[in-house]
Amino acid sequence: MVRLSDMQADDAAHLLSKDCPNFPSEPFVTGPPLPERRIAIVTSAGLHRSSDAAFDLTDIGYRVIPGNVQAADLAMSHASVNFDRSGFQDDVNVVFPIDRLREMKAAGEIGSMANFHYSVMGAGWEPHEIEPTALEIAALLHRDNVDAALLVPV
Amino acid sequence: MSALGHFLETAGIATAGISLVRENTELMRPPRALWVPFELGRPFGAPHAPDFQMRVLQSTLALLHRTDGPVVLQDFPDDAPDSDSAASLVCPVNFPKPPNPGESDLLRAVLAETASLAPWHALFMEAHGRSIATVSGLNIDAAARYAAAFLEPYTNPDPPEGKDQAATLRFAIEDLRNWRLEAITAQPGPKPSSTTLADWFWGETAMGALALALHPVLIDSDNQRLRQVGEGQLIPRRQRHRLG
Repeated sequence: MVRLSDMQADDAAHLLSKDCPNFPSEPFVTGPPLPERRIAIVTSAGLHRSSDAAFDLTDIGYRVIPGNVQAADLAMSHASVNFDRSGFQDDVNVVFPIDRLREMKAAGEIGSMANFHYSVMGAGWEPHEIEPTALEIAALLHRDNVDAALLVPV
Repeated sequence: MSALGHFLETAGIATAGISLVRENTELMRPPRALWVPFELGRPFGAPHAPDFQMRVLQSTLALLHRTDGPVVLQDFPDDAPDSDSAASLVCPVNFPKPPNPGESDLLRAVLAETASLAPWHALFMEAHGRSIATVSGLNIDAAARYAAAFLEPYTNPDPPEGKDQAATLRFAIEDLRNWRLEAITAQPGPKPSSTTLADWFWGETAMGALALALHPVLIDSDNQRLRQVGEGQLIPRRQRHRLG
C-alpha cells in the first residue's frame, strides 16, 4: 500500500509542493454508454515507441502510440527518477493497459479502441503550459472519432 | 495529468483518469478521477495481475457513466496485490567493490558486474522478449564507459553523433539501472518489491556506486544541463541518504 501518509517525508512534501491551480471553468463532457464509446489512452508516463525520440527534460510535446503497438516496442524516458520502473519492466499493462483495453473491446464492454494513443512526459512543466499540446491531441482524437480518453499518470 | 484532462474536456473529449496523489487531484478538480492507493509508477497496481488491472480499468472507465459532475473523485477500495513484498535478493555473484574507488576501478567493477549478470539478463529477455534499457541508444558496456568518462578529470565526453550530451548521460544511467533490475528479477525466488530492488541497486551494485560518484561532479559542472541532471535526474530522493 502506498499513500501520501506512507511516503518518506521529503517525497510527500515534494508531491504536495506541486502547482495545482484551479481552472476558471469545469468542463464535464458526457456521451453515449461505454459499449458505444471509442476510447484512447492518454498517458503522462513518457512512453514512446523505441524508434521515436526520447523525451527531453522539459519536453512538452507528445508522442503517438499506434493502437497495434507491441509491448516490445514501448520505451519510457520520463525525467523523474522518483517512481518505480520495475513494474513497467515486467508488464507494460501496469502503466499502459493496452491488453486490458483490448480485452474490454473483445468483450463488448467498450465500443472500439482508437487507432492512435498519445503520451506526454508529465514533469518539468507547469500545468498551463500543456494547453497547446492538449488541444492538438484533442484535435487528433476528434479526427480518430474518439469520444473518451483514459488518462493515466505514472 | 489533471491539467491535460481539463484541456481535453474543454475541447470536447470526455475523460476519466487515474489519480495517484489524491491531495493534488482534490485541488485540481478534474472531471472524473479514480484515486488508487498504489505506488508511483504502477497506476494499474501490479504487473502480471490481469484480473486486478482489469478491475482498475473497468472502475476508471465506469466513471464515464457518471453524470453528477462537474467533479467526480472516487476511491478504489483495494491495495495492489503483493505491494508490500519484502523478499530479499540473493545474488550469486560477489561483486568486486574497489577499496579506494578511483574512476577506472569503478568502471572495471561496473563492467565485471555487467558480465556477471549477463546470463540472468539473457533469461529475462527469453521470458519477456523486451528490455526497457534501450533509451540511450548505447549498448550496455558503452553506456557504462560513457557514464564513467564523466568521472575522469578534464574530460568532456562526446555523446553519439546527433545526441545531446546530458540527455545521453541521463538515459545511459537509466539503462544501466534498468538492465540490472531486469537481470536480478530473472533470478529464482519471490518477486522483490520495488523498494528492495531500489535499495539493492543503490546500495549494493557497482553501477549504483558509479552513479552516486557522479553526483558531486555533475552538480559542480559548468554545463547547466549536466548540473540539472545531477540535481534532479540522477539520485532518487529516497536514496539521497547514500550521498556523503
